[in-house]
Amino acid sequence: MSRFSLARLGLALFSVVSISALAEQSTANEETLLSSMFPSGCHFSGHFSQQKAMEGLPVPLKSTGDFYYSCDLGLVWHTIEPFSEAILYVNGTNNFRAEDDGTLTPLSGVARYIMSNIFIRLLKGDTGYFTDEFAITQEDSGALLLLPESDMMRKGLDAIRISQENTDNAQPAVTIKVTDATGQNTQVLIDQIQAYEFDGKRKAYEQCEALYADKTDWCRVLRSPGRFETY
Amino acid sequence: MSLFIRLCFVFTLVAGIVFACVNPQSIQIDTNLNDLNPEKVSDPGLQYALDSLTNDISQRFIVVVKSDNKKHAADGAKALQSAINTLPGLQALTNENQQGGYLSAITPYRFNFLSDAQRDALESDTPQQMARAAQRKLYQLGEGIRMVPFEKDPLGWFSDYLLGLTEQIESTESIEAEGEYVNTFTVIFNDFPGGMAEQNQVYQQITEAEQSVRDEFNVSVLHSGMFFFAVDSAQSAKADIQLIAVGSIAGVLVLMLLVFRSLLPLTLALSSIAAGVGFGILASVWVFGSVHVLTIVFGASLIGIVVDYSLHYFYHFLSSPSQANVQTSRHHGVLYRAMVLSVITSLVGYGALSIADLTILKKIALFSCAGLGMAWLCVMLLGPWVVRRPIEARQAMLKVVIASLQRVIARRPKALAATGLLLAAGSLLYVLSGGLQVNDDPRRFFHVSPTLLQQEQAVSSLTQVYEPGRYLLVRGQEPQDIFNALEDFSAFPGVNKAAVSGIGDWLPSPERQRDDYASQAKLYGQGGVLDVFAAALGLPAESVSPVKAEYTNAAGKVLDFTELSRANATLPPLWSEKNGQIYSFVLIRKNSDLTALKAAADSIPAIEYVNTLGNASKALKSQRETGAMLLVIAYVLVALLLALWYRSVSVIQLLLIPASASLIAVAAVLLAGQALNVFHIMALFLVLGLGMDYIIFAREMADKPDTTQQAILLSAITSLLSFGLLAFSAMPVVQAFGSIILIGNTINFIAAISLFNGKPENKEKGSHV
Repeated sequence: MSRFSLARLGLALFSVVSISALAEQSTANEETLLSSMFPSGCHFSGHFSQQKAMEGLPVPLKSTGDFYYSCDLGLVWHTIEPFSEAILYVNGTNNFRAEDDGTLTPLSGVARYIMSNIFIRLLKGDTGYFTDEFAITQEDSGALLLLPESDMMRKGLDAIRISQENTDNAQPAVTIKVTDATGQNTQVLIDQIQAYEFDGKRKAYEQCEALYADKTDWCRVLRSPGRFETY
Repeated sequence: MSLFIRLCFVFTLVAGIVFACVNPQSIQIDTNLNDLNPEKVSDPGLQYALDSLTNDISQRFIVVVKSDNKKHAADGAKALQSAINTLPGLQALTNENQQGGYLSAITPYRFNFLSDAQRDALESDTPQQMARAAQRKLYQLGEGIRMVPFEKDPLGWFSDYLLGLTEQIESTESIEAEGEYVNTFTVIFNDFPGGMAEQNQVYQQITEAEQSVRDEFNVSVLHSGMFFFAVDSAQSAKADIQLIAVGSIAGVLVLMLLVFRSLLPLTLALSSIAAGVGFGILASVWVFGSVHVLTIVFGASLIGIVVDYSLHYFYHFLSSPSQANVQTSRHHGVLYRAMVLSVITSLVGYGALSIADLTILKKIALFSCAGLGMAWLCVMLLGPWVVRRPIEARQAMLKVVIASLQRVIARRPKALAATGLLLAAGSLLYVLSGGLQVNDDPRRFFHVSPTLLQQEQAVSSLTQVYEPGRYLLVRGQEPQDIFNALEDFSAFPGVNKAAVSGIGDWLPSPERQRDDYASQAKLYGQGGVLDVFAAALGLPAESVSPVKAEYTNAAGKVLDFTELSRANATLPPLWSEKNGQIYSFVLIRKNSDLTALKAAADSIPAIEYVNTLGNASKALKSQRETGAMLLVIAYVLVALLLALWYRSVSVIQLLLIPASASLIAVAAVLLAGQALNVFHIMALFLVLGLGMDYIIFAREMADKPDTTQQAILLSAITSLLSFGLLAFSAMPVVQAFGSIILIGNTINFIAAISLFNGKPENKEKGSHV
């Protein structure tokens, strides 16, 4: 092999190695950026205020409520205003709508709740999922811009923006702005985040019960969703 | 030959040449494999529906892109879709564009659709409860997907209905199987390439695009569809055509030059071949619109038959003691008689192929009969011009060959005849005592490359969710009849509703649409759910009045499948209307309880359980059996013809020759491991036709045995060359046909050359005129 072709081969190998190294570095950077934005800890609760702007509706839809997230159980997303109801996200397939009177309605279908699944992964701090599925960049304002890469995801979702605001609380407030494929914006501000330090499903359940003592079955649904599937 | 026939011949020849020169694009080579399926549908409406379905299936193919890397598989599939979309006449379909087409067609009729849960809610809930539920959904986290804008569907009911449908329909676009990520999409031909050359070009373009994606994304790409089978068969047939045509022409050239040492006889032979094959092609185009590739394969063997007329003609003149006698009326009468009888037997043999209800055999019969007739006319009309100059043949060489053959096989003609009859009897015994193996499975007729078959099986295991070749056929006068029948079917004990997929998956019945529209008055009527909802959100009443007006205007409008298909061309043609009759197809999912489905279909008069493979096999079996019976009738008719022609009953025993040849040929192919099918039987008609051709010629020219035997030898060599080449075809049907004729005709030849040896006093002297 001539020196010329050896040099070319060397250059090509160098390029391949460099590109892989750069790609790994880029993923690591994205994960660091995401970690800094996502709530830390495995169990936490907080408040939220949501504002949805819908095309064709002259007024924004505002709602407020509280939530409890546990990596062992799932998420209770409790809307208080303008009406009281909760969505119980156990996992991708076992989700329920719970009303104050104890009525439970299973939420079927993955496609319909794809946005909810994204949201729960945000709370979970699933950085791996976001680096795999989204192109992540940081805007000048400091907000992270997540653009879906797969066609499937792009059918429902246009972009997610995540930004952080420092508060008096130890945990900063997080604003998540979701723009769907129809141009509709949903902005969720999460604040008053309270992290809990314990291990195990039992402790997580007890904390849930402490927060939602007056709500029949909510925490039990998270602990044993299979028992409620027939509802 | 009368002046009229001469003028007709010249006119046809000139017209054919002009047509071929002016209109070369109209001579299309057809590769449709359906021509091998028997025609059994007498209902034109059903035939129309089946043709639509078959055309649709043949104009689609599936592409699978696989990789152990999810992103590579997705990106590779996307790149291949883009590449295919750039190819003329092809469109790659994705779930996205299929759903888009469906949505745009169904949205104008959105007030006609409700899910079961929505119907229950309308029954049991108050307007306030329903308005509150709609309001909650607006606030709900993740309620982001609205299939239609808020102003068109403020309550979100139609959006929910559509999302429910999407969840029902299994998405096969992207799945994970055995540790690999599999992306699948369908490609349709918007403009199906008609000719073999065009199909091959598109095939090359597709494979190039696939290879490029394989290389770029490190993925494996598979494809499956009738198009690839057609191209594969065409390529295989092309190789056969080349082998047979080149082999036959080369054989004829060598033989004619070797024997006659002159270009003049060769010119007549080649002219008759050109006229015969050319007219066969034109007749096929005029009658069927194209020439089937298998017709050309079989037709190529016609070269060997057509050249016989020239040989017979020349040897008739060679047999005359002097040129002066050539034009005498006696000689002319003998020649004319022999030539007419010879062409009649060949035409009967080839014409018998059209008895079968197989389009391909009808096409072959037309091609062959038209070609034979034209070639015969060519020889009869141009022959006298050619023989004006003396013709010389190397009879000495042929005599040596014949003498050698006769030394081996014809030393004791009676013993040879007895041996032949014994062999025939043995063959008959073998066939009757269990040696008869039959196979009427049409899949055995094709030659499929192992690679293609492997791909087909791999794609089928990854993507195909329906039983191949099995479906339900529903008939009715009104659209509602079809839906009612399907409802009865679903309600039948033992039937799993999910086991079948029909129009009900795409569209509710007209009655259901009207009922659902009426039910939604509770939503969009005055003081209905929409009014309550608007008030709760603080929206002015006029903001929802356009939706209410749209609801009112939609009264009485029902979406039917024809309109749905028009708006969404990607839908399969599950619905067909013709002459006031409606036909609808229902597909059966794989691994379903077929017995239960068949029992249910049998109990409902409007539904028929169709097993296309089973039906085709049954029909081919019937063709084979009918063919065998007709063969017996053909023998009887030929016997009558011979008896009348020669005014002698004993002449009928000549038929023992082709009959014995046929029995021995059948036993031989069975012993070689072939199972009999309709093509073997059809070939037996030719064994009869060609055998009688030799025998008649030998008998008619019995006073000139040397010349006759030489003519028969040359004729047999050319015929055996052509049919021998057919026997070595890669296409099983061609092989079946060729092997029977090769064996049968060899026996015919041996008999003709050995049993009509003439008396010693008749031995000829001289070798030329």
